[in-house]
Amino acid sequence: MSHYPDSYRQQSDEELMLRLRKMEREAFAVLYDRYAGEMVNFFYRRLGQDPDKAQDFLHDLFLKLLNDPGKYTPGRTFRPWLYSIALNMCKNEYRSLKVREDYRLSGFPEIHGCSDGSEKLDMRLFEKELKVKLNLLDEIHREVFLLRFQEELTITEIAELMVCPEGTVKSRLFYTLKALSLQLKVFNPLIN
Amino acid sequence: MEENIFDAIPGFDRLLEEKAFEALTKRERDQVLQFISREDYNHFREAVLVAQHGMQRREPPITPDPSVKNRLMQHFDSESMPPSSSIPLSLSRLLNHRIPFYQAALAASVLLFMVIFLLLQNHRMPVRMAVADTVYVDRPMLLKDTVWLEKSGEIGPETAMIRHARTEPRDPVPARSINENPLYTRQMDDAMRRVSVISGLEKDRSVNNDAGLMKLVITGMAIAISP
Repeated sequence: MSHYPDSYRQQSDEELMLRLRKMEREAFAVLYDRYAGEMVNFFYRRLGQDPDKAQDFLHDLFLKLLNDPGKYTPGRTFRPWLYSIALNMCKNEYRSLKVREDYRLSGFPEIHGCSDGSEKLDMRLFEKELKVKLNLLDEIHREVFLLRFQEELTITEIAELMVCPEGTVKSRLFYTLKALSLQLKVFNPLIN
Repeated sequence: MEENIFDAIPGFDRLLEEKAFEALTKRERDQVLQFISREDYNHFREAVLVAQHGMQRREPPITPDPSVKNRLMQHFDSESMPPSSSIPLSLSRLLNHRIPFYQAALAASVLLFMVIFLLLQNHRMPVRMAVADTVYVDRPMLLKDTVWLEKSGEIGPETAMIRHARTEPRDPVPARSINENPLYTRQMDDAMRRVSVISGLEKDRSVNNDAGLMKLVITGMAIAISP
């Protein structure tokens, strides 16, 4: 990463995107380095934990940026914009594969090689249950929850991604947490 | 409508991620308890942490394949490289080039006016035609082409003599004798003043032909000799 000029590495995503619109090679390279790791794991979680597919989707995502950087509107925050493209790619994939139900909550990994400790077993059960309960929610509420606590987008970024007020995102989060809390009361708190 | 805890406590989502209920400050606890119970807070936190731990346990789950970046950069280079072969005028590019209608109309009218102008110019070009001209000469001169000599006078015996001289020229008078004889010289001068040359415009007016000169001299002599 250090081989790029400081002038690029110190710039914000939005400034780099504006440079990419002028077809500046280094701007694209720096943006890729900043987001490739994050996005490949996003695809990995969302697309059935298939590493090859995640790499392919990562390639296609940045190819979209490369082929049509003009789609980025100056003034918009880059990260939610990038996630909105990635989410749409996932949705298209769900539709094409018609395995939406299997992929939808694949963000929660299986626990491999866990010890026989009861706490880990509880955690595993809790995760399975959380998958099920989240699956029962509608797509909008589930997506808000995953974007906030799995992809770690801020509320402001989610609002921008979903093109809605921040208050709406907060309401959806609160609703989702309450619904999950009601349904998961049978499980003891794992972390105190 | 139920009040939203996310609106009432700024950064409540961060609080859930970072602090258990027991770790909250008194002020934070009081704020939280105004909306939800301690149990609810812990359930909220469970869901959040399980979602997050799911990621953290696989850290780093996968890393981007270097070949992905290489392919993208190659694509970038091929896209951003100026298409050198297509810059020169290609027929298909010219044919597919679209211009506004007004530009095409303007070009067509300019061409039309140019054609009309050229046609009018052709009509105004000078016509080659013969023009009669009269040149008075007072000394021997070279003539390039045919010279007609005119002499005003009455038709009489002298005219017949001239005609006779034209058809049957006598022996030319030696130049020396002409130059030495003042009478001849005066008469020659007088005769030459009366010579008129008629020529066509397309003929070269310069008179530098030796044969023409001799013809003029002979004819002039004939006129001078006549009374």
